[in-house]
Amino acid sequence: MVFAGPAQAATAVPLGTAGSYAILAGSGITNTGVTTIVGDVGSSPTSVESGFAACPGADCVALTGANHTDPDPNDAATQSAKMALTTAYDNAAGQTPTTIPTELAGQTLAAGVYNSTSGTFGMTGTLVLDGANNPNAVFIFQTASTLITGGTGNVSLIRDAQACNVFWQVGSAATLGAGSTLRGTIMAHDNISLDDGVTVDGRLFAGEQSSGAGAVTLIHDTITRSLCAAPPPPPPAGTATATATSTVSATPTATSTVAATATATRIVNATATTLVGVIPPVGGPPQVGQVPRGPVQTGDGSSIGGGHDRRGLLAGGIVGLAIAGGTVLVSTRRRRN
Amino acid sequence: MGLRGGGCHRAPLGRVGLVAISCALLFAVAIGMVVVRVNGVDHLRVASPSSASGFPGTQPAASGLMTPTATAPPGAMVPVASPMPKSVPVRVEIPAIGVDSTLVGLGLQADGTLQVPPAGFPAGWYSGAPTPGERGPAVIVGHVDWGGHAGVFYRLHNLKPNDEIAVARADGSTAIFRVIRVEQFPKDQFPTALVYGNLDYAGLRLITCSGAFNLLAHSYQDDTVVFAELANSTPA
Repeated sequence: MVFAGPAQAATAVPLGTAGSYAILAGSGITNTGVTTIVGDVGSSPTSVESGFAACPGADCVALTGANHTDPDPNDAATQSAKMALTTAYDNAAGQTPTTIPTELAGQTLAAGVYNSTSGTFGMTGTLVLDGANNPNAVFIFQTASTLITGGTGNVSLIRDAQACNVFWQVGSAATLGAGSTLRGTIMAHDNISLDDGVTVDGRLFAGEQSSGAGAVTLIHDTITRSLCAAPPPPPPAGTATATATSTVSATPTATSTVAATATATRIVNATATTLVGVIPPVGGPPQVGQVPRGPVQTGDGSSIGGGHDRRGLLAGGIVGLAIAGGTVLVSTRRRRN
Repeated sequence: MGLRGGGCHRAPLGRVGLVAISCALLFAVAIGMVVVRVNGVDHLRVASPSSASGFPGTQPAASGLMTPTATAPPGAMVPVASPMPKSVPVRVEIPAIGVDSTLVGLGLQADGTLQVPPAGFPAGWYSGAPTPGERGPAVIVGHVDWGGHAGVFYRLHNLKPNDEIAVARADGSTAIFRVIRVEQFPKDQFPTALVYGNLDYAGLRLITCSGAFNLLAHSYQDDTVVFAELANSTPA
């Protein structure tokens, strides 16, 4: 079913200092099993964490981010983030909604603010959020009470919709069923409970209230703080034209031989030192109909230390200078694994 | 949509050898080449036009190899998940290196080379290849850097075997791949057949630039290719 009614325009909810957190709670975080978290973690005013030992272990958390509970519980950063959460929650709750059915599964929604007559949302199937090719499309869901997803609950983002722009303002508690996938930032007045094997592409913020309530419960889940894809930078300035031709050693270390009539042909991986084997011939239509020609050109050399290093950059520069001076035969072969 | 040819233009390097290899590999693909997985290692096999024997869904016996175990890791074969139906990919996530990117569709340039995304973010997928999760070699490429910033695949070379790659698809399903191996190839020896050749499983290749950077030619000298196989999936 496609929801075709007019949607209220939504503006992105400012998360402030809470934005760096994957999980924020008021009265503590409980984990069972092996859980993976990418993003910061904190709870304020009550900083209780259980099952947060480093993995491997029976109950452990593989954390990529800062843990604001250990060794400095209820630190200033988390207190600040909790206040930012309250601001964000009020912002989301204050935007004018369009009313849609309580069951989200099966709906395809454009950017907008949504609530339901029942004051709750449920999801036992796939909800599709359509960004309409706008990476800034914002989706806000408001509930007066609960958000509950079933095991098959899943949020599908299409056409540039991004999890960083999806917000769930939950008036009481959120419960995510085992195996479900939720995208976006949940901001709950009270608790957030995840069953076994839930995937969250977003954030779990519990206890926006000042009372100190709001616990987060995890069981073998994966929470990844979602960041917006960076906007495209301006195109690079034109580069100096180089007309000199150069010859870099192309002496192949291995040859590739293909004989149409052979029943078994030895193929050598172009750079690997090992033979990759000879296999009995098998037919079949090509799975890649039009095979791209040659290598892939993905980078402009404007960084240091990623796919290359300073030595490489320097060597490249020397090569370039040498080429500028005339014709030169260079053998530069680098291989890193 | 303004896709461009990419900033690291390949220098006019070693044309003779390059052309020879490329032509050989392309010819190999044209006549029917398949890459199969045996004991965790990709193998090429070449079709004989005279033996159009269909397309097996199972892996061949090791006895078919002239060098059956030289490159195979110890232990039994790792089970590969069954291929998924066709569905366009919308997002790629690689937790091990902090990648979370939407995906743009890529085609071919006028000269037959692969288009690349218009900027450092997001990554793109080659729409002429199988979709990630389908049987065959799905292809996702991203910049290592662009416009003074790290690109989406800046840390691609840090991936290790068994690292996970999750590709969310338009039908709501997710294809979860595991890395088989990470290789760096000089651009003039790009393994076209190994990357784009037929597979008897659902595979994925992640590609970006790497190696030394030639300032004058404005080109990296290598490509890093991550080879992965479908390990799991969530339904639509």
